[in-house]
Amino acid sequence: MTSSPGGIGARTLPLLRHPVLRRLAQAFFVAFLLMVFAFLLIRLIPGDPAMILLGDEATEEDVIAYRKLLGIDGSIPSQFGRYVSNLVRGDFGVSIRSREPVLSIVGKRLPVSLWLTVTTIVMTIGLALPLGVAAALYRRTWFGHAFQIGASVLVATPVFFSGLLLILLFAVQVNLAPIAGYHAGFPANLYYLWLPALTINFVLVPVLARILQSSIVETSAEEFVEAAIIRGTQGWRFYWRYLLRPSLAPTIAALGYFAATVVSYAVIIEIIFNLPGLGMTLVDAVRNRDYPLVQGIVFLSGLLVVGLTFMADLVNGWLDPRAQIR
Amino acid sequence: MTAGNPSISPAGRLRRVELRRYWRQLNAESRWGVVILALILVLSVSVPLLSPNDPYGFVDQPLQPPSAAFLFGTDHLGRDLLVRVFAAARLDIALAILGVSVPIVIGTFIGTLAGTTRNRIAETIWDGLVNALTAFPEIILVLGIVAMVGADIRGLLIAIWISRWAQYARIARAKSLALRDAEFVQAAQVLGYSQLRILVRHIMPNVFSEALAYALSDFIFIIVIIGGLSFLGLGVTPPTPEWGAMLAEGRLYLRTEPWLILFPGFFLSLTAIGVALLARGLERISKGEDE
Amino acid sequence: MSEIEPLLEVKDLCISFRKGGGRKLPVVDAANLSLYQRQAVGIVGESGSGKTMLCRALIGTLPRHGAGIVSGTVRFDGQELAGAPERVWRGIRGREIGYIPQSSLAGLNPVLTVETQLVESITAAGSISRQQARQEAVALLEQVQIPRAQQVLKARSHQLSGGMRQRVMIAAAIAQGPKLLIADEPTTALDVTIQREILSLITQLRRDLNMALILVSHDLAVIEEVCDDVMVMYAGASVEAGPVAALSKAPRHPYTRALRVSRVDRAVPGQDLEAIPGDAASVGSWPAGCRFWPRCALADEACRRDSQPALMPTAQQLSACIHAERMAELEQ
Ligand SMILES: Nc1ncnc2c1ncn2[C@@H]1O[C@H](COP(=O)(O)OP(=O)(O)OP(=O)(O)O)[C@@H](O)[C@H]1O
Ligand code: SF4
Ligand SMILES: [Mg+2]
Repeated sequence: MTSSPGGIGARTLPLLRHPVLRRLAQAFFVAFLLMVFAFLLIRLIPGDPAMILLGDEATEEDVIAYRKLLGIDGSIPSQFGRYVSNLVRGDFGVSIRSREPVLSIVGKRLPVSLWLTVTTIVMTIGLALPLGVAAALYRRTWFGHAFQIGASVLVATPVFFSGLLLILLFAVQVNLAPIAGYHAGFPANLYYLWLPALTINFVLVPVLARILQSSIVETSAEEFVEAAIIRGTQGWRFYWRYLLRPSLAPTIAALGYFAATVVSYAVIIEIIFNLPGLGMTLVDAVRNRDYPLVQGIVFLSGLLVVGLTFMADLVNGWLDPRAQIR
Repeated sequence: MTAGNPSISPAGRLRRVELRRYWRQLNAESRWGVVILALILVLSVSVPLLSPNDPYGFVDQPLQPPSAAFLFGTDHLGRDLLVRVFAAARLDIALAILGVSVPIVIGTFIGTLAGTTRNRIAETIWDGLVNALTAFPEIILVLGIVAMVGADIRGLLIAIWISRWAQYARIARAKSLALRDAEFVQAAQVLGYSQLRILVRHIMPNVFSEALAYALSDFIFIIVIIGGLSFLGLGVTPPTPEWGAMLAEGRLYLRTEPWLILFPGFFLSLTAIGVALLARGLERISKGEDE
Repeated sequence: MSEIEPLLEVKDLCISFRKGGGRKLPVVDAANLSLYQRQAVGIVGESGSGKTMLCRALIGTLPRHGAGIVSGTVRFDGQELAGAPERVWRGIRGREIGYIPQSSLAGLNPVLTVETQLVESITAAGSISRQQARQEAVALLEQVQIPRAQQVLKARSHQLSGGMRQRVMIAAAIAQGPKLLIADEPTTALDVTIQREILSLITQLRRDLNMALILVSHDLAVIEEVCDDVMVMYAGASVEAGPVAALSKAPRHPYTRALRVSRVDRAVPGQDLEAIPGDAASVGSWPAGCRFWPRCALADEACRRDSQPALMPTAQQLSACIHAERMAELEQ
């Protein structure tokens, strides 16, 4: 009996049983479906898109040319085949407005959006961690109650209102940020990004801090915390190893889940703060009925979210082995 | 109370008693939510009714600060901001209710159907579909659909309907998966009821209550989307009074006449906060944790 | 009884939870326990009788759980621990008193390796190099009879079986060479064969390391096998205490007798005691008088009227029953 000490890595796993590879396969499947949705998107247009764009007096040749441009000539299966093979070759079509390839437009505008996303997420982590920990440690004090109320209020305040309020406060009253605009180049761009990122975090931080808080409260009741106290673990080691790290998994998972929300709100934020990113491009494209550009951005933003969620999964697996065995 | 007001019918009295019982079961958070929402509903019904001013009509000099005559001041076209804010409340709340109610019905129906089939392959594909649809950043998907269908109220509602049903389908599927093996469902099968009847009469009502809980938090999101798209000029457009559109208009006067955004923004936020408090309070009650 | 002072002496200990609005909820009231160097004492009692709370009082973690000592004394090695500040406890926990928590299957941090946690235990005692600590960790695992120690060091909780986790917990508890080891139901969640192994491991370690032992269990049989003395708890109070042999041959409290009888009746080992008639007194609604009276065949007016009887010496043990001498009546 003593000779069977319970398996350590007892089973060797076939390729797809490996959690990371399985997640990757799932991500690819979802990406394929995103592609299908994006393809279908343009078919939502009521009537003939070419006619809508050209108006009634369009010539037959123009209409045919436009259909070709939009990829809506020929039978649906052949359209889809062409669409997929184009995408695989990196051809997302051309903007109807500027005739510039969609991918090159996106390539130009994406950095601003990525910078905004990264600044936001760094700020989220920097704010949500201490807030969540403090809210857990002091949850029975005035601070804990204030946190709960404040979180409820902030979560429900739409970003396009809180953004305007923040501009009013930081850009108009005290001169700590520009009212709007952007200049590329790190670290100068942070001057333009910190207020937009803070605005998104007005919604994001309360949600994540709350998740972290309840997760820490749950963890602190665990027997292994008691065991650590008894063996005399103290100081930062205790807080990091026994309270924070075992509680991070749900928070990181939520951060992955909210990646979509960040990218979403970034659209509105870019308009409010006049940041020339993908969101602004998308809104312009919607206004101009630039169907291929809209389609391309919708698809790519979906991909971006799938990628971010996948990364959150990886970080999670590293932080908490329990997450991997599921 | 037993003396009774003669004008209250027995049914009315019963309902009062019931209401009071519900009220007693609520916790502080959900009570605050109810109070806030009731206040906003009352104001949005009464203010446009009682005020002599028309939300579209020019009443006085533009850009006047709040005063006794115009409690919220006047906007850039000299319209009464007070009336516009509460006319907007009517529209936004009505649109948000419309936006929530269609996906909840479609989503629960599809999700319940999916939850009651027993095909492994169908389940995998289904999971992928729902995951993919929910992977799109919400606002971007809505924008994409609006771009195709049309940048107006109709397009906005269609976009919300298309993009939100999957969340309900996901909840409904999970719940009906659990339910399909439940005793009363199997009893119904033994009695020889048709699949459809079992689905509609026995499973759907149970699934629905779960979906309603989610609908509250979805309501917040949808009212933000409606305001957000209108703010971008792609939903409700001026001169129609709508909170997001009013914020977009008022934004130009941010430096000098900030009340143009403060009033609509405040009531939009207050509505969302009211729903958020109600949702959180109810959630805590159902989890059995009170103060 | 003896000239030398006990290693641990708990006298009339009362523990309460602090509830909202300054209310208190007593969970242990009149617990008594004494234990000498190298002695093994068992604590037995139904679920909810306050065994775990008593153990927590002995390692000073009550405040973490929203509870505290209300009155009574805890003398350990000549030092008063009831109400001792955290600073004093740090010198006691782990170093002087080792502890294996009740749900010790959850006692290992799931995100850390066994090594990290064992090294923490080892280095807490004094400064020692990482290399040395590692070697010592291997030695510890070998001491608790874990084969392939090197491999287990690199493992995390979810990769280990229940028995292995329990062994690791024991290793962590003895790492600093404590004088007293407290094991709160160390075998409850394990299957029967593993239970035996763990118990014999604990017995052996106690001998090898000259430790005193407090073993908490639902199961009188387990205690009779491992311990010298036993203390029986009912509804937060010590109701009988003395040598294992005396309590098994001639119990002097009706509750102890009931425990023994129910044990004989029981078919499945390792399960809750259910054969005692009546419901266990639950916290917050202890009856007035002797807390056992609603379930006691000997109960009379005096039992219901007076307060919970104190432990009084009888022939070979201490009993908290005012009718201890009438125990013979129960044998019919
Ligand atoms: N946080 C708490 N608040 C109020 N009462 C509590 C709390 N934690 C435990 N209790 C109560 O304290 C009493 C004593 O608990 P304890 O864990 O000491 O019992 P036990 O004898 O160890 O039982 P078991 O054999 O089940 O481990 C129990 O009745 C329990 O319900
Ligand atoms: S004191 Fe009375 S009630 Fe209590 S155990 Fe003894 S006989 Fe029974
Ligand atoms: Mg216990």
